[in-house]
Amino acid sequence: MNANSSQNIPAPFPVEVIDDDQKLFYRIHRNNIDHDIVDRKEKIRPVAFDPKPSPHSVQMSVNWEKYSSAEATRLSAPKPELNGVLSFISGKIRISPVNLNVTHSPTQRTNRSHSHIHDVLSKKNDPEIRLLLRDSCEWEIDVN
Amino acid sequence: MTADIPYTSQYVTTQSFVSRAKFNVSKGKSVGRSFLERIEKNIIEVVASNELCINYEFKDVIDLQIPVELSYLRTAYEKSQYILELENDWDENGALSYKLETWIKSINFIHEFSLIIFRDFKRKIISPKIYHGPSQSIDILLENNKYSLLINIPPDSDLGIYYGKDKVGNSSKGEINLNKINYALIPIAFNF
Repeated sequence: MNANSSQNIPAPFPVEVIDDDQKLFYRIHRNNIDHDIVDRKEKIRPVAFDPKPSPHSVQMSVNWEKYSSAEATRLSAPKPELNGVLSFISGKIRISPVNLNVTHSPTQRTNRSHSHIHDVLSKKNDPEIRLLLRDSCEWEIDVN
Repeated sequence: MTADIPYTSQYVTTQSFVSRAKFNVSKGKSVGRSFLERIEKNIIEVVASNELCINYEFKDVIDLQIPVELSYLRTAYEKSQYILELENDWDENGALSYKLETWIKSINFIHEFSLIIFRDFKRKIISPKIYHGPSQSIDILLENNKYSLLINIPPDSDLGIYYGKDKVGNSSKGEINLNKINYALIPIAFNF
């Protein structure tokens, strides 16, 4: 039987347009939270918004709510118990003052929800975009 | 120099810190010669003559005197020591540990900045939160309910960057030559 038969290999996921009202889920490691701070936004250390793998990446990986959930995003971490989940509304990321592009970027045949927030660090370790992203996010799942 | 507070020429950033940093350089730890030269030139001369100071020491690499009014700085410095305990892969995503030299550079910067605000404006700097940053850099976050100022100190160069913003649309960003800091160009982060 032909190994490349279309019966055995599923087709790649198509790239779709993410509407402005859609949520994007983003994992946050517990080391990126200041547990001494009560304010839910201020407890997020700005390093949380760091494209991976550092230091050359400029885009952040997120999961689109159409094909994922906050809990599924948490469970995708190597150690889910050490991770929480934040979310962004894609339309808020695209407009001023954040002004970043958001695109669907499904991982071939494995993660249909995978998406990118582009050009997060136009300048190395840019403090501006990291503060703006912190302002723009909301908590979905906290982590202690 | 202002008339309200009598100043003497006590050193705030201590000579012992400089000499210990020199010792570390001679032992092969790269603190950076220009960094040391700047400290020596820029040692701050002014603490009120009746000022009491407290000490902040860390192992044999930092020994700072802090005016009692700014004693919360010591707490901030102590809290930041967690950065040095982060090991490779601290995020389970391949992040690297942090260099002692970057942390020293960061503490020295914020200490000096705090003292200049105290001296020239007679105000207390917002309590700094000193965090690990991206790619082995260190973040210094000065934040209250009106505005935020985030300063990033890199591990591999002497060019820091900052961005500050308030809640009503004002913002400021720029670069800091850590070897020749012009504090007049950095937003003064104290509680109004």
